[in-house]
Amino acid sequence: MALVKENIEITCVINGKPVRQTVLSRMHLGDFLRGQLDLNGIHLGCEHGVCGACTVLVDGLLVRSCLMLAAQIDGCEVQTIEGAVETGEVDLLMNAFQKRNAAQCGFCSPAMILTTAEIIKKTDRPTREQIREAISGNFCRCTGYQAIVDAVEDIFDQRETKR
Amino acid sequence: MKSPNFSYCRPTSLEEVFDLFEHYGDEALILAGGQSLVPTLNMRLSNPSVLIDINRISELQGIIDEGHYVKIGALTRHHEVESSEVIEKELPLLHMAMPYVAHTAIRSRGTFGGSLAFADAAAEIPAITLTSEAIIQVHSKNGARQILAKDFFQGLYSTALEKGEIITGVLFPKNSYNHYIFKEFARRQGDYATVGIAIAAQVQAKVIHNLRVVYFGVSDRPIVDLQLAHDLLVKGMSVETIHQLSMSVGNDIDITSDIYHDQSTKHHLLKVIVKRALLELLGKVEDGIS
Repeated sequence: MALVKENIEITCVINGKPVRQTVLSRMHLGDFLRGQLDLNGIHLGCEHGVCGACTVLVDGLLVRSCLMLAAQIDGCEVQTIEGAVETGEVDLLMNAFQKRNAAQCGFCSPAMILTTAEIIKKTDRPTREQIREAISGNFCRCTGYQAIVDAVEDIFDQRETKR
Repeated sequence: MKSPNFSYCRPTSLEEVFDLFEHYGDEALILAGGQSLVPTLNMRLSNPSVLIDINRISELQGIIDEGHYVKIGALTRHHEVESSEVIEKELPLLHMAMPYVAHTAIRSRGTFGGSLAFADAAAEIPAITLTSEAIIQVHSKNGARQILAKDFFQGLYSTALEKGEIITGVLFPKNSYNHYIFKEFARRQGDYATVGIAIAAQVQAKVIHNLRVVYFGVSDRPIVDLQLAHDLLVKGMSVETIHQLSMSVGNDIDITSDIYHDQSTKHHLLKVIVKRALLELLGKVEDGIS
């Protein structure tokens, strides 16, 4: 029978670096990243999967870190906003957010950047409506989303000018 | 918003799951995608002693074209169903509905079997399973059994699953329907539907020969409207019959309110969505577009 435990040893790759840690079974991924690894770019808003502020990438897919147990990332690759900033892959997007005033209080911004970076990677030229749909899982209580959609559109405009 | 204490284990076979069930009984809960279970843990609405994480059981994963059926493994993630070419080709109604299932980050983790086991009355996947007359495969220590979708959903968050049973897959028949409509009203893209409708129709030479209509988000489970389908087949589809029949829809349904909408609002929205869906179907039939 599978071993039933409260302390689980995990080995994973976080922002490109190998990590080996022991985690409590009840701990969710967001708390693990913030509490044990000091990756405080992940923000915990609702902790029940509604606000999207805790979004990270696990094996290349956007996930809510409050809805995954830390024990479940054993063997996985995790990228947080810190990792994305380090590689420079979100530089243009961060500039666009700044220029368009898409980050006001900043609480939703790390997750919003990771989420919109995925749209930019995976879509050719989305409409404003499609951008809004893609960020519909991420709450922003300041901007009314207008400025965020503007910032994302800026990236596509830049892309088209380059062509 | 922190989960209570529980122990965790990660079996790699169904046999191990059954042993764990036998040992821990009601104290154990299955963790599949966790997109509904983990919120209830964080809110302390559930309090298991043991979580059985089934994510490493490979036999529960994947989409297989089995000829007359398409089998979707219980652990198949929503994003895999959404982007599957087999589903797009063979199960167009399911393909249409998948983008409405929660948000991208939830679809990365949420599982097909998990959505059925949770049985939210306003969820898309149970409704499509019912519309498509799919068969739910369950296993326990005592063997396997198959449950028709119409018998599976038994009320709010209630299913025909018995103690010690686990969903392993769902069989979708490749039936003779060739026109589909899927619609829902929701407060925000990706949320559970306030009211939703799925229609499968068999159309030949611009005449509807068979029709199946399912509502979700209106009652304690997805509902098949046999009466409406029957009336439409007898009276024939026209703008007039659609307007007339959609006015009396829902009178025989036990409509349940939710925190934002009372019964009368839901009933009104149901009539509106039925009318819009049928008019869209009529347009497709007349234009000969499937």
